[in-house]
Amino acid sequence: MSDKYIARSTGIAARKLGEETIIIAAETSSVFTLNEQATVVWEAADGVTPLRTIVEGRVCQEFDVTPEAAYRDAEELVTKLRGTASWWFRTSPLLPPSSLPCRP
Amino acid sequence: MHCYVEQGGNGEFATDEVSRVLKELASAGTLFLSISGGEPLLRGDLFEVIAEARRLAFDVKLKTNGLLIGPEEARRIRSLHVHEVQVSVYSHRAEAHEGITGVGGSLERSLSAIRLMRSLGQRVILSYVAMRGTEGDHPGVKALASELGAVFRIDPAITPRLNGDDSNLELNVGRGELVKIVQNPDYVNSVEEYCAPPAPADAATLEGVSCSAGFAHCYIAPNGDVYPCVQFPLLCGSLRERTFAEIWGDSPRLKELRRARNRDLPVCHGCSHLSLCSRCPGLAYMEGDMRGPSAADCEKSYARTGIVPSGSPRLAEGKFRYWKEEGMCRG
Ligand code: SF4
Repeated sequence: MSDKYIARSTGIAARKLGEETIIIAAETSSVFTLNEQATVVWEAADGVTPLRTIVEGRVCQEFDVTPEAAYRDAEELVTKLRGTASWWFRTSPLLPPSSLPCRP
Repeated sequence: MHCYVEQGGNGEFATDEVSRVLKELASAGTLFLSISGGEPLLRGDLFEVIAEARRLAFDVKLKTNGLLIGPEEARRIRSLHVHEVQVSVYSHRAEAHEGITGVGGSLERSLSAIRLMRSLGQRVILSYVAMRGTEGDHPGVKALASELGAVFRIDPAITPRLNGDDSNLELNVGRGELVKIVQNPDYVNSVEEYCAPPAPADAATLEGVSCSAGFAHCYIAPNGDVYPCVQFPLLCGSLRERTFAEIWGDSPRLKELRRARNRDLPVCHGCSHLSLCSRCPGLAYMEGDMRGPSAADCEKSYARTGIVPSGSPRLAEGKFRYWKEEGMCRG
């Protein structure tokens, strides 16, 4: 199965309120409220971390959910938001990880 | 001519101060930011401010007359993902529009700004302020908006200036025209619902409030003074002296405003129009009591339903204040 990568669009307005996040896509004037689990995916959507790694490394660590169910939810979220210009969805990373600055 | 905002600098915030306030607003959970004027493009650092606001993920709206928007400004607005730009157009007739703005060629310049922005796909609201003398121009301005691909909006009310000067109320259209506007689908989605006779106020209405000023939004003046709304000159604190969170959380005036539920309003709580009225506490404050009725909203409520209740404070005063017309007070 090929990896999927997601990155938040620069055109988005967003605010985390408590554990939830409200996002607005200026392009389509659509408004979404992301629940706690979706907020974790949203925050980790950097365009270089594969969706499966986000799900397994973040969502499954923070919530009592199986990797399969969490991945299904994440894919559903991505599909829902794809049409709203909220984020980019790619089958390759935004930048090759090696080109990112190293953190000590 | 008609604008409720007082003009004049009075210690406008510098870029770094604006930047600090934006950070404070973001960490307080603010999402929506409307930048207006005067004319915001007169600030040389406007795009720096918008860029910072967008970096902080605000949903940014801009209100402008468009006169200073050329190709470069349009491109920057678009590339910064400003959600929408609102441009006021008073008439589709140049002489009428320019008679109001006082600037020769201003209609063509505003329209050219709208064209530039639309050509880049920018969402633009063309806001038509209904005024005496141009009241028949609604269809012309609407047609213009449609030709430009802009969203058409009508604003039927000219409100007093924040210093209390209400001489501009003379510019409001007559009552007959107001009725035509509020009962027009260009103004509201469902005329039937909006203009239905008022339902009796239920428990939820009595516990509720008619306006989110001071609850969910506020106005920050160019000098950092904080008010509940741009139309509510109740100074709640200065961002030069305190942080936004401190003012928003601790201002005694904001607390007092938030305490007033519909049931606590001495006149309005018994009014037959309470359940539908969008009473503006800011205009009421300017009339002397933030818990009192606001003439503009009484008159607009009556225009919606076509009913002037016999106990109306407007009838008690013997005249309408905003939308005047011969014989209109017969009830
Ligand atoms: S119509 Fe006037 S008196 Fe009645 S609720 Fe509205 S503002 Fe108050």
